[in-house]
Amino acid sequence: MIDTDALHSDGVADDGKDRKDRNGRDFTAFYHAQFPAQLRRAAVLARSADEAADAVQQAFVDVYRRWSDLADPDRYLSRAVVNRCRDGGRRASARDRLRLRLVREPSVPVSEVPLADEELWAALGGLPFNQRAAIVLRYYGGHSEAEIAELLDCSTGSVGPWISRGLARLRRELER
Amino acid sequence: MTTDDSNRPADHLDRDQVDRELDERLHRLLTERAEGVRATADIGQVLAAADRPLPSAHRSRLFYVGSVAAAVLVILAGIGVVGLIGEEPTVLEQPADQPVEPSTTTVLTTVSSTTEPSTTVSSTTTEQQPADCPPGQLPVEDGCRPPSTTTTTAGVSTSVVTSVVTSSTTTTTTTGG
Repeated sequence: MIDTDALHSDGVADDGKDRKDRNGRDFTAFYHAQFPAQLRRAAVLARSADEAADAVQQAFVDVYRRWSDLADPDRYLSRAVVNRCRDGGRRASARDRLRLRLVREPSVPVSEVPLADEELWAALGGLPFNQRAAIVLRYYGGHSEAEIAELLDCSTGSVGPWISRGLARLRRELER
Repeated sequence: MTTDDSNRPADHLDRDQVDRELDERLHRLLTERAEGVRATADIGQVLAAADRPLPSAHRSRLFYVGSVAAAVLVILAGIGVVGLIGEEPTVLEQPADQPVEPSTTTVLTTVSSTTEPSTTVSSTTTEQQPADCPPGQLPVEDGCRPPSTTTTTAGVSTSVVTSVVTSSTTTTTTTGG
């Protein structure tokens, strides 16, 4: 059992207001502005609300450590969240994951609504990550192919084929 | 080659319809799924995780530092040993009142070949000249001696080492019939 109050009183800053990025923004405002949207997108990318919460928190840890050096924290955070979701949290170092578990007291409460379209959700889950992520970012996030390519760290020309192949596979799965 | 194009417009419309339906289903599914997730933002977790190292991290760091220190000590010890070995040996002076006996050094070298056994033995004998004789002694051919003492003659030993290497080759020819 970890006493989070003790952690905070042990030299750890209670908030991120003392951390400014290159544009003078404080970390706390950035966190509260970005967290809900990043969590929602991560939830459909990682297909698990718990995994999404872990991925987003770990991505924020990455951002916090580099906060004063980042020129575009929004972009860095989005890419970090997608990368964390790509590996389902496996890429996260054991140290970071353990840290988050140790300090999670109480845990981040996560709830999910009952799924309406189980068939399509299951078919979507059967796609390779890049195809699934490209479809999610296009249909949920409304991102352009160039934006998707940046988030997935790939060439723009790869995104279109990924979406086409993913949709074709979904159609085949739904027609069975 | 003939194709039936009469159904193509209808198929195309069906395909468009399927695509539109899939688009709508995907958009609705992902939106409902994403918007249904509720989580309480807890920045304290992020700050604590970012700033507070784990005990295991401390241990690994200590282990690393300890390993480096041990490696440095081993290297320094090695340098010290090498330095001791490399120092010039201390020369023990002969007592001034004792005659210096001649010393003999023999060097043996053996060279072998595969064709004929051969042995080469070389021997070198060096006789050390006596040092200056102390007062009261006379220099002689192989040292110093008092005017009325017996001369000590040093012996010369010679060793011979013989090495023989024999090689043989066997050739077998088999003729099938």
